Amino acid sequence: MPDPTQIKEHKSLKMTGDLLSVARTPNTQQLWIGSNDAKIYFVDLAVEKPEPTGMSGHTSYVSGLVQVDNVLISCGWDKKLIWWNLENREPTRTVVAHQKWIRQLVASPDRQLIATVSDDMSCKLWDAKSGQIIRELRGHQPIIPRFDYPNKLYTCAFSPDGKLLAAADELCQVIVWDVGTGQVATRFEAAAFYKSDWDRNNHPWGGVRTMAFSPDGKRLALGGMQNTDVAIINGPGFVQVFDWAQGKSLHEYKLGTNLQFESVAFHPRTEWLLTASGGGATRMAFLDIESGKTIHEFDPKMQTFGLALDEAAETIYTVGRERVAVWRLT
Amino acid sequence: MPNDVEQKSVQSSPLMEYDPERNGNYEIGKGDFSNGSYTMSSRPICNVLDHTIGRREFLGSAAAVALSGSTLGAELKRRGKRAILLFLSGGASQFETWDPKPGRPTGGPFQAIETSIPGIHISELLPLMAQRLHKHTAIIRSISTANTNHDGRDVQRLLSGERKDTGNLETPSLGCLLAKELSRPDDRLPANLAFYSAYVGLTANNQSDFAGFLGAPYQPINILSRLSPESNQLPASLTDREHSERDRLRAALSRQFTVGRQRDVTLASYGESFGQVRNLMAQEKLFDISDEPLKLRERYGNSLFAQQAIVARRLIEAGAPFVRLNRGWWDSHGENFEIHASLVPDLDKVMSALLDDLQDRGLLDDTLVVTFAEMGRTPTINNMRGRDHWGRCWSAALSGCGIKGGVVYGSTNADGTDVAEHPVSAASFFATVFQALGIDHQKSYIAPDGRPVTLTPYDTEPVREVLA
Repeated sequence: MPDPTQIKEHKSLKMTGDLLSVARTPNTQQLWIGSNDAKIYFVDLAVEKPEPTGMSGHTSYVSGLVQVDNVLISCGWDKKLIWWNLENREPTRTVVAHQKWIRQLVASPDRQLIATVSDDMSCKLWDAKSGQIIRELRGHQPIIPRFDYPNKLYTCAFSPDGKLLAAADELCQVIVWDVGTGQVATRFEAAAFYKSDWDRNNHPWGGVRTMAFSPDGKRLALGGMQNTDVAIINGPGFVQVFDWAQGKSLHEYKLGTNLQFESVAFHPRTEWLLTASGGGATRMAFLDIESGKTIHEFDPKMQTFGLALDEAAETIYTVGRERVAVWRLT
Repeated sequence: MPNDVEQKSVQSSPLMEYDPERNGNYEIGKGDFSNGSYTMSSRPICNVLDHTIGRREFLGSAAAVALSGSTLGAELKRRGKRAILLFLSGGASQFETWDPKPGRPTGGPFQAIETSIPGIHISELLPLMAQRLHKHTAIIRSISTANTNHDGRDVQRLLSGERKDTGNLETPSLGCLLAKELSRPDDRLPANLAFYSAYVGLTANNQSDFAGFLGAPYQPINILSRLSPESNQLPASLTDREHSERDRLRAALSRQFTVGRQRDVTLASYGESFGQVRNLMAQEKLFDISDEPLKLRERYGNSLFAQQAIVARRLIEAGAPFVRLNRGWWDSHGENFEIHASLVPDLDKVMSALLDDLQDRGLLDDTLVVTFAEMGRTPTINNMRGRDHWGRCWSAALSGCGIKGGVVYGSTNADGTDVAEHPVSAASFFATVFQALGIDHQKSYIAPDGRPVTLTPYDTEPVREVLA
């Protein structure tokens, strides 16, 4: 079995700007990368000298990408969802999907559905092929109590069987919905991610920034940080694993200083949970969610805003500030 | 015009021509405490009757709210101009407020939206102000200052206009100068009240206004993370009469001690602070917003800043000359966009509600709302998705009294890295503030060392393009 403690950087590609999201074409080394320059870049890392090529359509940060067959779907801070024909790389459908910025886009395991979360505090389910909206899921508070500031809905994730969808916000409220009925299956609070700073700075800090269900669907890993000063990223990166049905914390991981974890991904057989920091210091870590221990952590020398695994979870693709990297477990 | 007459009367009284109403050398009364023959003068140390009058005045002000806006507006014209400073403490980003650069590498994720001024766009985080921009507000997009710090002395230099013509003399800050210029001898409210929504702007980084040689009456009374001064209610152990008697005794002792020490600002500060306590206590209803209509409160919102803004409006309406709302904390070295996504909508709501409220009450023509910060934020987005400190080019807004609404003055280059046209210094910005309020920005004070000191350096020009 590949050993995560032996992870090595296999290839690296210098780009410009912040590369915020990534989708990989199955069984290839071809990546679609969403950038803060509002473009989506295609890059084939199998070739010796990869040359990124861009596609224009969004007018702000491209915050999420998924590939469904030969269609790419993207979302952005411009509130839009765009469907792209990957043969001619032209948009085939553009939908103003939300009233505020779209933070994340995920696809169901069977690729029939996509889900988006936005700061309009709605989570929307869409037919991945037709683009029809199927259901709007609500339940997160629109306002941060006491402060009276807008809340933010940062992240969402499908369960491995596709029957559940979870989303989490700045207040660290986690809601799990039944995808079929739209009913709330459960909700709980991950309060350790939230810092209320009334007197000193008069604004809070917090939020679950990334999440993933474990392969058995029983656990939910949440990522972010525990900040100590809202003016800067100043605190340890934080990952917490919950038994979501019980709302019970199983493990907590505090790693490094001045960093925020913004990506999490499970090994398909739960050998490990991978997390990477996007804000502040650069860090990646493999976590053992059975023992609660850290298997291995290291400095990837880049802020990581998105990651993708290959089918065997032996190769990891990361995108971040000005760089794309390919990592191999040997 | 009546205000001109009042202004001249203030101008004819330079600092060193001692102002007994404001400089601590009070005629507090006649007689002797020991034999019971002591009688009080009416001001500024006041008796219970004075408080009754004060409350009546307050009730009168509250009743005036129900009057038509024009009636109250005429009354205020008679009484003079007022100013509210919305100080965006910590340094709000010009990119996420008044000078967006969407699509540029420095622009960040937020879009620009159209405003009520054709061709002018501001951040999508300010939709309410965008609808009102043509009415009362001018934007200056080319403020250029030396300061890039939050801390006391650096901010003090900025707040006193970053002047280089006064050597070692510490000149008063904008808020205290406005308090001095806009206050009148018969004001029942403190000349300078400052509300802080975040204490980091005061205790960790002393951004308070400072009166310097103007003296203690113009030093701000700072109200921290709340709506009213902490000392505006009697302790349960004291009756009003007992408190009043103590105050008289304190004043009498203070008067004796002050003899020969009139120019000691620190001493005067103590005396003034104690003296203001009872004035504030008499006006405590002004700090209670519970009787404001629910619809109005909803327009402002429920943030601390919003509630403090309602108090500020009440104070202005009751005759306070200058109120500062120190809205913090904007320092966004990390997660600039998250912080601005939280704070700018609140600013948008509060600022638009305040302007509407002042206008509805007929107060806006005589009330200048000044919105700025100690600096702007960098075009470069750092590795914490933050923006750092930046003085080279940033934005400010002026609304209401004396301002030509709908003007956007100055500009920055495509990436917001420098002023493209019409740089505006701190001194020029302050001169514009003074002129908008009908104050001669070249008016002189006599400093303690005998030098004449103008409100702004002698060669300062206001931005006339934004003046009505």
